[in-house]
Amino acid sequence: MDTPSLALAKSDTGHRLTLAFNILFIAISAMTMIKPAHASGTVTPTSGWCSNIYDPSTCIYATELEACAKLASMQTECKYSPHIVHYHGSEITGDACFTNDSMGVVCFPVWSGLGWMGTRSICPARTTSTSPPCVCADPYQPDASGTSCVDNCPANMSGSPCACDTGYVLNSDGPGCVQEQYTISEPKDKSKLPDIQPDSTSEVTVRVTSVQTNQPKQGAVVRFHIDADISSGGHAHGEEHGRRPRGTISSDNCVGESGGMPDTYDCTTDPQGYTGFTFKAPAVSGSQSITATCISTACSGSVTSNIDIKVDGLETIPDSQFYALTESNGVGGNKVIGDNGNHSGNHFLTPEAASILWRLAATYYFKYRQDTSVPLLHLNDASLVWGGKFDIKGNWVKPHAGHRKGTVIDIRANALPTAIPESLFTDFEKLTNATKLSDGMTSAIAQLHCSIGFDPATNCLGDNNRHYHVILLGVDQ
Amino acid sequence: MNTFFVRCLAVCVCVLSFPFGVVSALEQGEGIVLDTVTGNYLFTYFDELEDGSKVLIHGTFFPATKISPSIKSIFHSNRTVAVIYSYVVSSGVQSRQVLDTIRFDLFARVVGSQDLPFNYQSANEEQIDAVLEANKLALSTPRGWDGFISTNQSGASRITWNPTKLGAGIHPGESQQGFGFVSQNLPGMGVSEFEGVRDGRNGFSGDGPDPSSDISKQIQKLYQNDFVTHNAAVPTIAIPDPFDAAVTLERIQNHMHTWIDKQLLDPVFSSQLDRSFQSAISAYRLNQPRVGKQEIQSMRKLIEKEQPDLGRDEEHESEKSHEKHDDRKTALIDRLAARVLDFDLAYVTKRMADDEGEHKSARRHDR
Repeated sequence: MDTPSLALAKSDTGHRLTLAFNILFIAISAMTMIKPAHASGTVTPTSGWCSNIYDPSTCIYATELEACAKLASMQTECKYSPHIVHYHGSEITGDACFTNDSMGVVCFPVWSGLGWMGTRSICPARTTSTSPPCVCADPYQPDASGTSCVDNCPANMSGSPCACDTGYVLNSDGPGCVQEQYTISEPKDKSKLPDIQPDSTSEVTVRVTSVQTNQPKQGAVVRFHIDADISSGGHAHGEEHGRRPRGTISSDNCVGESGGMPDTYDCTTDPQGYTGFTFKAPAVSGSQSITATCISTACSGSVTSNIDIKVDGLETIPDSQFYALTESNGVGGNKVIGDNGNHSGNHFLTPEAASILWRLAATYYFKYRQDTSVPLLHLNDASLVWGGKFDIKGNWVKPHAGHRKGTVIDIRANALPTAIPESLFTDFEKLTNATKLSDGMTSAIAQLHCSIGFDPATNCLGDNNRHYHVILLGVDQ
Repeated sequence: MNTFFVRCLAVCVCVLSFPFGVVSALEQGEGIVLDTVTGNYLFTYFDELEDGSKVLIHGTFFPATKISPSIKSIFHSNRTVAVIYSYVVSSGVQSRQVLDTIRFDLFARVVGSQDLPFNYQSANEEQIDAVLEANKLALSTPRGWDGFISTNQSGASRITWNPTKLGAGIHPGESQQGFGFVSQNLPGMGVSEFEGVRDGRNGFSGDGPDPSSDISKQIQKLYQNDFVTHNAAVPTIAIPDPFDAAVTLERIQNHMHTWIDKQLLDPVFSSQLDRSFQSAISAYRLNQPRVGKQEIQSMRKLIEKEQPDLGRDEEHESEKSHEKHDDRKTALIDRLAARVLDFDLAYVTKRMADDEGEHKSARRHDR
């Protein structure tokens, strides 16, 4: 690009104009200093590069090149490639705006008023004049920053027109705005979640909305706490031998409570105001509660829902002359077989499983009734009242792996006289195998179980814990 | 085809293919392998102790499938409308166990059998005793064996025969006849199930693997499939009451179609039979019994053409005749299937003739 020559850019007229411009610039600056902003009713003027130094309304450009571009756009032919040339001479100093014609030849400077680019202080909107001092016109008043004139807003409002500040909503009882309040609005039926099976999952969701507008609240933090009825689900032992397992959660929106409070999670609401998680029930049946409390500022409300973790439809095994559910306790009374005081019952089955058990027991009874040495089947643990993990010792852990859904029962097969005699083990297995289940193709299955370290292949020789684990519906569960 | 080794192979493929499909579900170290020397399955699984630690437990599953059974099906109708079924069971010389369980899963009850009361809480001993005795009598059972009938709530029955003495049964190379029952239903192609005397007792040291674990499911499959099957003629086709030839033929035809997938019937031959089935069904619907009978006869001729010795029960066949049939690779229908189909078609003809006779007799009485 050709550099414009000074001869081309300057003239005597330009010299004089520069002087006048400088005087004017100083005068305006001085006036600004004399009348500082923030005086009552005044605001700080803004400064901008002008496309016409005589017209304050054109002093709106952030850079002189922008002002130059504006000047260029007003030319007819020589309007291309606007650029600034800084002249620093002994007589005149200033920036000039040059353009090119369509052939790329540099034209004369495009004049901005006095011929040089310059800035001016101007007043913002709603002031009484365009140049300082900038006094807010009636009824406006300076805003908090003193840079613009705004409406005279009531409490907790700002802007022009007045609008509620962030986090505030219009006060329905008077002027201005009041702080917006939020609450947990869903679930509406707060007391009970649907029952679920042990080890299964359920979605838990709450919604936070504005009390005043009913609009969803994004970013609110809801604290969830999971608790358990420690003796529910047949676990009469409570937490005597260990802490009862609670459900766990999985969610992208939740984190563990920062203080490490157990079974407590902080979850953040999405744009629709929802938050929650997938609740994973423990293997142990029983009642648990999930309490959601909104802990964000201006957010209140707490909701507690109970959830029953259970295998539905289990019933007490009915009494029968073909099997024994109880036996002598040795001191003149009876005790429930398998009862060690830790649970409120150990003889629960589904009706279908109970029916198969009865048929098996009746068949066994009639086959060996002539032989007085063969006792009734003595029934040990089946399932707890709500199924789930059957922790014999009340410590929330094994030994029972199955027994969770009311379809499996243990039958005594040790060395006691009330057990299935070892000589009848194969017969008992055959009888079990001969049952006919509802699918028309399968049967119950009898597996010999020993204590760890004993071998079922040799009939668990010497093991007092030996028993038949009878899978009444053909599937261990 | 039902040798122990084939059976083992089938089970092994089933069991051992699991790791490839769901390999991530098994924990490292867990698995089931077939001991090719003993034919037993060795399984390993993790058990969780009460302190939360895990230990690997090893165990053995002793299959009851080290047998090579076969069964001959004999069936004929008596003067009533029932069909008498009897069976001869053989244990092949390749068997490595004594065969001690013979079982049929039927879709209905057999004649003379009774159900144990489903409302069992109100049942008394006399009732139950009567049912069990009736069920014993409903079965033909050879000496030294016990027959047992178990019926589910849908009325489907499982018939099981076991030796009365522990360890007894059909030894390799031996046969046992005298198993049977009577049914109101026509024969079809079903299966009989067999088990041998296991080499050891199955069970677990401890309470076994977690039932929801993959290894547990695989071990359970071993238990559930621990038998050998063989094709047999078993009651399959319900006879409508009152008798209806068209409906009976439809049922026979539908059952026959299931044989194609079992490779008991050539599909082209099936289509050939279908044409006669349709004609016979239409004829009986249009009250043209003579036409229906002709169509049945033509079907029976087609069947006989494929299996010329249909008139002979398997019971009376020599091993030589078996060999002869085995050589007939071109037969378009399995021999037992042909006998079953021929019997069923003949039954329809006979019932229609009986009904016609009754009508004639009734007309004479009317006069």
